[in-house]
Amino acid sequence: MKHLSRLEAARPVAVVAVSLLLALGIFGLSGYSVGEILNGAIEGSVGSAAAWTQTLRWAIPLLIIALGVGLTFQAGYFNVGAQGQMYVGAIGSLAVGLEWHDGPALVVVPSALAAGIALGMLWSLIPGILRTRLGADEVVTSLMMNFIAVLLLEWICTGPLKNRDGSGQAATTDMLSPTFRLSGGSGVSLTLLVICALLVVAAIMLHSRTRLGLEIRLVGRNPVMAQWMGIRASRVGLVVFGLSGAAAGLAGAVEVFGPAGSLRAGFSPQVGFMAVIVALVGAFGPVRMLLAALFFGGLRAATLYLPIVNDLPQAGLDMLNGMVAVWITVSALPAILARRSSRGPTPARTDKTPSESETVSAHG
Amino acid sequence: MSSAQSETHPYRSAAAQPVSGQPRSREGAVLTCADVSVEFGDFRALDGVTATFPPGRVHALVGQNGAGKTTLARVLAGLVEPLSGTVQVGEDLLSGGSVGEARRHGVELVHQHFALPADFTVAQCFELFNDGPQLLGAFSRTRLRRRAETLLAGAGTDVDPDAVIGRLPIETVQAVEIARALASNPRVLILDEPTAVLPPPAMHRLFERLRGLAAEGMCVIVVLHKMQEVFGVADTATALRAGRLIIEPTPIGDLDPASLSRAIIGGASIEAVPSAHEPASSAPVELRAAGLSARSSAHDASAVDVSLEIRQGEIVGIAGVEGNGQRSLVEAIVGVTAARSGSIWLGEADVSEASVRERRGRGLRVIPFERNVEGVSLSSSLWENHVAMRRGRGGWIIWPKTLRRQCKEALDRWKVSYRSEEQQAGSLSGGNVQKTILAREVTDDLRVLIAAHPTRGLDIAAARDVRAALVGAAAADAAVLVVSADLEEMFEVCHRVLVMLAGRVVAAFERPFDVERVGAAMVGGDEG
Repeated sequence: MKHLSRLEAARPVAVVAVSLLLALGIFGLSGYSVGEILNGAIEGSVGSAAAWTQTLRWAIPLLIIALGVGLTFQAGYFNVGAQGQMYVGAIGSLAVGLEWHDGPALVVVPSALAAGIALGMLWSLIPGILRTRLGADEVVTSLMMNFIAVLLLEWICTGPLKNRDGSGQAATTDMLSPTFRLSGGSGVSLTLLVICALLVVAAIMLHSRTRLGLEIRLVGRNPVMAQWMGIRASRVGLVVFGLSGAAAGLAGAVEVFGPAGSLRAGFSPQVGFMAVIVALVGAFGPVRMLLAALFFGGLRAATLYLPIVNDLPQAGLDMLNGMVAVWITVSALPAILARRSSRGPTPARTDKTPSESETVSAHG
Repeated sequence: MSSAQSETHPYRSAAAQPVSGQPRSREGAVLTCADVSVEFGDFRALDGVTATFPPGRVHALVGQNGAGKTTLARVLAGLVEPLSGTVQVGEDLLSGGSVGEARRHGVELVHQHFALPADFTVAQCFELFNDGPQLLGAFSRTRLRRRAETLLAGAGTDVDPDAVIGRLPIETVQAVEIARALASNPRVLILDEPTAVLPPPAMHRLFERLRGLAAEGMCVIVVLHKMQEVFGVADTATALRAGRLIIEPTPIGDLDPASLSRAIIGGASIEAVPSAHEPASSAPVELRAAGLSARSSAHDASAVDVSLEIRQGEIVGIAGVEGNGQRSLVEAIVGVTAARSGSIWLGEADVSEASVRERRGRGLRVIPFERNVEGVSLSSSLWENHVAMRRGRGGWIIWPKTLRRQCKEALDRWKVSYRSEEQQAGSLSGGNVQKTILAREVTDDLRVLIAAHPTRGLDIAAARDVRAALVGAAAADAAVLVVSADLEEMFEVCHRVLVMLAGRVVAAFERPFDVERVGAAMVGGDEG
């Protein structure tokens, strides 16, 4: 049994490797030099201190969000609304930071982060409540909430918080006071790294040392059994939606108070979705998700670097990302679908009793 | 077959009549398997099984759980591809492992747990399995209905073709499944444990039908559990033990129940469970339901106006054909389904509105209906399953090492065979899974134990352990409610037996129990 589960854990890594090979193959066939691209990718992600900074800059939001969505996946819910939750978190934190621009940083920054966390949580609880109370499919609702958040951000940047002095080309907001910033424009600082480390430790503790972690896993694996045991699956569901939204909201706030300093319509596109992939590749384990976040952060850094040195069109890199996303989703989907099919507002019952073939697999 | 047996066994008396009003000749075929072996992982489920089943007979396939009966039935029907060996229908050698191929050669399997979709009507189910030519899968409602009517009549059942499967009693679903299997006019019909869900009168009717089919020339193979049934319906018996053929198809006249039982068990004898002492009449009532009505979300009749009281140390059984409200009743008592009306009391406390967790905190414990769905999480570790129960206020912080130790102690106490408490529950056999549930549920603070089909699908030794646990719980002053389809088991452990029919408790019996009367009450008293 054990070697099987190790194989299961290795599958996402294999999927990523295959996607990379396929993409390189396509680049090669299109006339690019595969060697140069590989070189450029390594240079752009880990080749220099600046490359490392860029890798970490993207790994930070990916990790924060992945730690949250990983929880919803573990509980058997498929929250794909992280992008929108991150946006509303960013909006909330920026609003606090701008309104209270003359306050002491030690008070304003934590309040702003808390506002981001709270808004992200609320945004996530909407699909969460629709799911656990009414049985509305959370994939659809959480995804649609993203579009609302995108437009909300656009409106905020062009309306209420618009930077009146700006050039007017890009819709951006006013800049935060420099004393509030958690990092410079690079997006990496000791503060942010410490925040990430604390979150990873918290996730590990939640996973292995709390009743909640245990119940999240049980509800994800068998919601019907959880109900018979006296665990309220719907309540656990709400908690994971809340935590996941909180993490995404924090990621948005970190973006604003870290590298960005202001809001721009449509900032950090795809980060919320890439974090889903990070969670799946990391198989929901905090440390594995950390490694996956570093990898995908590096990939992101490389994709920003490659067009400069190799003349590779951005579309080629989007294709690579898309390929990883498709493969990883396909490989993880059967398990997720199997879980989702066994739940609803009132848990459906599968008429499953041990047949001989099932009970004997045991001895294997 | 000797005439003496036809007298002692009622199922034979009405035998050998063609099934339908219109006698039709069926072409049977001899079914042969040669040196069939099947492996699941490292486990050898079948080991070189060779047997010949001639047409025009009812063949019983017997053996303990895990002996390979169902696997053999599935190999014959093309559902499982054998590792080696061949299956032959008449003159045709099957390449194996294809249901379509087996069906084309006239082999049909009626599953143990019926494979009909619960939301479909009877007529729609027939269309699902219709292999005939179709234009883009189009069908007309009337044509579909007519076809279903013909098929049902042909199989000797008068079910409404528009009835929804999930709303039908289990016996009728089985009849539909058999009619479905007969639709393609098969040469070989295989039934996997068809009697597990039937009350005595329905079983009687099923056996008549099978004997009729054999009389028409069909080769009928039935997987059976009980000696009485084997000697009641079969012409030959075939026994498997641990994947090997112990008795090749042998005329029933050459066998006797005792020797066949011994062959199946393999010499080991199982001692009977010592019966529970009568509870003192002054013992306090631990579980009380008053005017309880509820409807489970699963396919089951509502429980209607059920009142019952169980005292400390008392074991009360709920008998009834499956689907007559037992599940609704149990779910309402446990709290996973809200009662529509009526009240539930645990000891002195009214728990009608209480959550599952509160009720468990008051000492209510459950062995659920479907152990692999409601009882354990198959993909979770044993220790996680062991500590899953929520009762009262628990701390937020857990100490995995302590919990694993507690789990280990409990599993050892219940003699579960396992390798490590980190092992997944799904890697245990059915009997061991049931024991891990007992290890979790039967604790010192147990006051009321609800056991739903506690021994279903378990082999003889494991079933005995579970029954002993029920009696032991009563001896430790718990109130025990047993829901079972197995009357013999119920008579062995219960002080009282209530019969549920269409959601109501229609009869109550005390020791000594009379199987005929209880059986009659289960179907509404019109037989017996």
